[in-house]
Amino acid sequence: MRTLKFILNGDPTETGVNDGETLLEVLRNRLGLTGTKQGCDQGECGSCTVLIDGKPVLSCLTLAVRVENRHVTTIEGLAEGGKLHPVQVSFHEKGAIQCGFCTPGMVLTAKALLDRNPHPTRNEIKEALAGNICRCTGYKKIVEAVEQAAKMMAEKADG
Amino acid sequence: MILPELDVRTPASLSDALQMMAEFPGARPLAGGTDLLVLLKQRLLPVGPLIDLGRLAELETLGTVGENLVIGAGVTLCEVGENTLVRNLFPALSEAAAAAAGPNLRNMGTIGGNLCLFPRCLYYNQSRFWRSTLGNCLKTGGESCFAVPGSLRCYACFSADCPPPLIALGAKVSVARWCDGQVGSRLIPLEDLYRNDGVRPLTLNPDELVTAIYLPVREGLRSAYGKYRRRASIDFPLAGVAVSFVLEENRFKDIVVVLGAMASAPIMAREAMTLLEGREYGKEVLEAAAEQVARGTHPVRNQPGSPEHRRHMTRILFRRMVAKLVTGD
Repeated sequence: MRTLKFILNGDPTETGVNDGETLLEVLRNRLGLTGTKQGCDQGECGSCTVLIDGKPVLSCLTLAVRVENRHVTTIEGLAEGGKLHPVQVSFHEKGAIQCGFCTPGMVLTAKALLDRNPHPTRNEIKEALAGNICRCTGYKKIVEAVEQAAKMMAEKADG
Repeated sequence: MILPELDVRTPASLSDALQMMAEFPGARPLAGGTDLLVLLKQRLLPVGPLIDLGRLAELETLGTVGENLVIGAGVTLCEVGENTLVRNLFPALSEAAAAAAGPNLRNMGTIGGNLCLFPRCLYYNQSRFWRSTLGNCLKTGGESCFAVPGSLRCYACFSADCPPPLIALGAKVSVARWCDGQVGSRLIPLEDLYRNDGVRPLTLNPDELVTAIYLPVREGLRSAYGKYRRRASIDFPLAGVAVSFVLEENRFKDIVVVLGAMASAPIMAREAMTLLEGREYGKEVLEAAAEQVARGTHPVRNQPGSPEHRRHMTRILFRRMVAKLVTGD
């Protein structure tokens, strides 16, 4: 057991972890942040996606000890001051959710895409989301929601 | 699936890491973890100390040095796939890196890890529970191969995307270890890193580490990588074909064809290379070479899809890659 210090959703965080614990286990079991979902647990489905230093990665295949001093963003950290992030708003408005299990990973992957490419084409959106699997097969609305979020963010930046 | 209890060591430098590799028996390097951690979760590997290479800046360089493009083993597949130098000089590598796994895994997985990916088999890459119904196979210490009944060797499938194009492009890799109180390294052609054996696929000693890839820059070199898989977004290759050559007055010069996912190591399609070398591009000669490419492969039933189908796809991908490189479409 060792002490892990990192920045979680903007807050300095400290917790005890074992070397063999994944970031996913630490987030869900030790820190109570169950927004990050455990799906296949072997890197195939994308449900457990979180952002480490802004990049989307799979928390089920990330050893927790590896995020020492890094910035980790989970779905719980996207809203600011009680206001949802434009990607969350769009997913809600477009109904880009069925069972909701893939949604946190989808939203975080989409957020990272829009941060580095504010005006993605439809193909770029599909490529970015290729590793996040929705078993309800609701991809169409998810892609539309990301397109709408891009528009909202552009208007906000202009306005 | 939970991981076994682990002991993770975090070296401060490459020489630190090599010392740890030499010091702890059974130690394994941990790069992106996207392959290793899954195997550990599935209880497919003995558990030893993990040497975390994640923060070693020495492994993360990418740039030209003299006549070579040098890529550190710790550069992520995402960076290799998106890098402009790689894309301009060695498109086959760029295409292969961008086609490995899915985007978020490419943010984690490194090119060094891809070179050392464990060969895969339908009967091996499964949970302990799944495997318990059949008992151990050759690769897990048993006496029979379920993919090729009666076989005395393991045929696990070479499933990495980057090595075939790297070999076609003439890559060498530096392999380092700690010896006599200092870092010693040797430079070997990438093909010498592999042996066609599903159980012991790498020629590395347990204390050795691949640290960098050296690619000779050559003017006029054309290259491409074609990959066939079930889901184009995330899967391992069912067939992979890398081609590189220089075209002089419409004739092939120094053509190299390397196939992935057909054996336990990348294989060179030597007959096709000999057939095309010096020849003028044309539909008939290309067809004959494609036939040789397929004929030289012997995939077995250890991946989704029939071996015949996977073999046929090498023919198709080879034709497609060569035609694309010659005619531009």
